[in-house]
Amino acid sequence: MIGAPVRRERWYTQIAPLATVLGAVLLDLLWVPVPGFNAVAPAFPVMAVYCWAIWRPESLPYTGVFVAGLLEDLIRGTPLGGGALALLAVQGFVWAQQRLLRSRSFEVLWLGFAVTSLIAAIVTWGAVAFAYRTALSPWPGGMQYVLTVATFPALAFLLMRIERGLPRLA
Amino acid sequence: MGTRARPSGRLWLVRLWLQRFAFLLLLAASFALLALGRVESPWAGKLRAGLLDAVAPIAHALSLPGRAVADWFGSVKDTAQLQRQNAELKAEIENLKLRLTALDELARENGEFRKLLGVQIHDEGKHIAARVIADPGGPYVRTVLIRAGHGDGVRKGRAVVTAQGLVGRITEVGEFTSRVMLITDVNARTAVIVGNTGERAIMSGANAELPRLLHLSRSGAFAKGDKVVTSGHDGILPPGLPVGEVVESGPDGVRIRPAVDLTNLGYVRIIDHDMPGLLPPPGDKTAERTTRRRDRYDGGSP
Repeated sequence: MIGAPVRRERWYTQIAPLATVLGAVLLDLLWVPVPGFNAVAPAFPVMAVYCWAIWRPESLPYTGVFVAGLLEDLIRGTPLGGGALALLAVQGFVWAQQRLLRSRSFEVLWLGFAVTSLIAAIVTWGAVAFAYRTALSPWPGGMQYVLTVATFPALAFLLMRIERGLPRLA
Repeated sequence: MGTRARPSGRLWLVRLWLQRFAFLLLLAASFALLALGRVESPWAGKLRAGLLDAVAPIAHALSLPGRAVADWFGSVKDTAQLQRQNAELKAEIENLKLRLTALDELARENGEFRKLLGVQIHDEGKHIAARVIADPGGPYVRTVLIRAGHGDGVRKGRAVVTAQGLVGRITEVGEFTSRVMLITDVNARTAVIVGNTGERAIMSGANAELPRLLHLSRSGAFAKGDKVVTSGHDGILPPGLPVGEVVESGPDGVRIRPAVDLTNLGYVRIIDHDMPGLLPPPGDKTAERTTRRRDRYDGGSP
């Protein structure tokens, strides 16, 4: 009896989501020759966690997201734990809204991201305010939020290409 | 949360609960880290310093394209302005020659007065040059990473300057890389003197372009353009470093425009300067080595 051909699971299928999240964290180090840009640069890790949490949740472990958040804090010099909290909030929200966000049009995906990244922005602001014991002006975070939502389609398109190139898990 | 080959029945439920438990545990861990971060812990400092060295090559590589673009635009701009700049520089050289003669005379006179009064001048320290390789702060932090660390003699708390004035101070030191907290960071506090009045104040960053002055006795009594320099009273930064100038002075407070364009830093210098009478923090091996070396040079105990 001849069985149906089984597509073997490749090692890169498992690590690709987390690797791209870590890559997005390292993008914080990119030097852009525009004065003041880095203060409001888009939150690439939030985009990466959001996309993979929808498309390949099984390959994005919570511990990996937690470590990526800590790495972000260590690179940025922000209070340790704030980045992890924001990224876990994104993953938790997507998990709760999985049915709504999965297999929908790109417009729904983008709208969902606008809500999710707003939650991430509020969590980040709250974490920094808690750590510094002072309520900072939310405007720089607001600017970053607008840029993050505006640039989401570009990174989502890139991640979509990667996701489509990966074999589906059995 | 997984959708992959779901095991049926009870096993799947157990897995689901374990995942939920792990998620809540990691959320609690994040909160705990935030709460612990309010207490300055040495392990977090060591972890950050170690990571700085690890990410430095990546930061350096990621800064290259941006630097190349900025350098190219800079060279085009410079070429266009070359003739005018040449004329200006010639005039400035003549002015500086005159001022240098006067300064030589003042320095000689100053030395003689100091001898008469018996004033001891403390070591002004050496300068360590370093390139800025990244500014990864984000919306709530104003820091930059520089390519110099313990190995180059950099130590925590040192003042970082450019030819224009104060940039900030060193907050984390790795072996080859350090983090500089800019004077505009919300956690930055700088003891300063304002204008010719000698009024002391604390300049506080606000994560905005213009830091403000705190603890002033005569708020609003400053003129626009009054110069602000470090006072040295914080026991950390050397006195007399240019910080900026007053741009707003009124009932809402006094705002300072930094002397240095902090959004476009290329090279900086770290002042290796020991404040007289201060001991190095315990465990600061570089400081201990430097102190031993200085003792040896001064003929003190080895």
